[in-house]
Amino acid sequence: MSPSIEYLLVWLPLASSLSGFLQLDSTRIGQWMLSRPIVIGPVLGVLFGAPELGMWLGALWELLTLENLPVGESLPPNACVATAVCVLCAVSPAQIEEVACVAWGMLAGILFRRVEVWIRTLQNALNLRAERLLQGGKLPPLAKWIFEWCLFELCLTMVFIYFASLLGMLALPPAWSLLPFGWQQGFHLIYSLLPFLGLALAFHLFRWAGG
Amino acid sequence: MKTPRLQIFLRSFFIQALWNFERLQNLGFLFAMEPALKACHPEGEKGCKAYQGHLEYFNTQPYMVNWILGVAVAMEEENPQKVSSLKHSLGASLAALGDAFFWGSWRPLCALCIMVFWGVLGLLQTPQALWLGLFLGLVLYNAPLLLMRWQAFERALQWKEGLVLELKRQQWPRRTRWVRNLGFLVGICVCGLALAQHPEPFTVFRNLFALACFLAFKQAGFSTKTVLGYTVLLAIFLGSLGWV
Repeated sequence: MSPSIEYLLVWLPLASSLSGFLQLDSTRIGQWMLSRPIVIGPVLGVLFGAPELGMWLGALWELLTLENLPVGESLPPNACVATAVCVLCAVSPAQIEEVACVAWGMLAGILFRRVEVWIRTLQNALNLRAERLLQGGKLPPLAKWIFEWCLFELCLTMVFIYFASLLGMLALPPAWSLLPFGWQQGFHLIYSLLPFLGLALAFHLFRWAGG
Repeated sequence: MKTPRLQIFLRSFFIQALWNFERLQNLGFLFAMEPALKACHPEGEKGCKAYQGHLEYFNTQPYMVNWILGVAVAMEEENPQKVSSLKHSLGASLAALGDAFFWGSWRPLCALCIMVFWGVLGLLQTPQALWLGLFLGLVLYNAPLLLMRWQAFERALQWKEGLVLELKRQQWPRRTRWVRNLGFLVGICVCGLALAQHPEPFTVFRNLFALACFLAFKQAGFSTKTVLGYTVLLAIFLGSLGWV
């Protein structure tokens, strides 16, 4: 079943905006855990009337990204975007296999990391602007810059999530049907084992990881 | 001079808002310091110089920045020349402590707690278990954090350079170990909940076997990407043979 016009023009943009807002929490504002998969998964699930699926996928993504630490200049794949795209594909009327949604979300999270790198590289120029303003005896308008860059990232995230989810809804069902039956079964097996991979990461982090 | 404490505290939540690869959190730190700088150095050349001093490279764990902000505000009033060196030395050491504690222990622990809350509330058939679990988890994560951040700022304003000794007394590595041990126990609860989803003996055995294999691979130093890659290849291979 293909997505309806209402879904494409109302619900998907709404969910993308909400995810975009929550994504700001990951780096720019607060870091109150609102951008974590465990929050974003169920929130989007509830929005589309599938709270349990949202909870399940949110918990799964949380476990899988538990060990990704945003330390210094390292930038792990974006867990918030990955979860949003995965949940939006899974709850869509296109009835996509959950394992395919997880794989698609993973790809989206990795790709969005490049967007983040690009934004942060663009922000290097602010240092020079601030220095020039101060040399000229003016104070840099930091609050205005923060507002502008938050807005910029919000828009980019919204657009990215919207189109990544839309592309997933259109491309994943035919791509899945092209896979040999044995492969499909193999992917189902992986999906059932993913929570245990996540738990292994958690145990490793708590018991044996350094720091 | 009266320090606009609340304003600086609220601005500390934007410490990474203008994060850049060149100088990392410098602009966010300057934004948080702005009210103090304005109070210390009213408009003029001296004010601009103080601003320029904060444009240099700066990085720390975002929750630990309040310690540094407190010291920087106090020193800005008394001895502005020392601010830069203090920022650098404190930034690096607090980043190490904060990354291990908050990113590597506290956040994963709270995330696992949310899963346990969901499991327990679901078993008790509590209405609105999802929102209640989420709310409890977020309060568990944020309430101590906000309190710590405010106290850190207040204390650092008083302790100034003596902060280093006080931080040593707080025994952050010990706290980290404690939280990690607790996280391990909560992880076992989550594992129990996950296993209970499919309680058939063969499935439980298979899942536990997979968990042990994943752990062994991680212990052997394989990255998560590699472990996942091998799992995909193995599953496809088994699927092709019709053994799944």
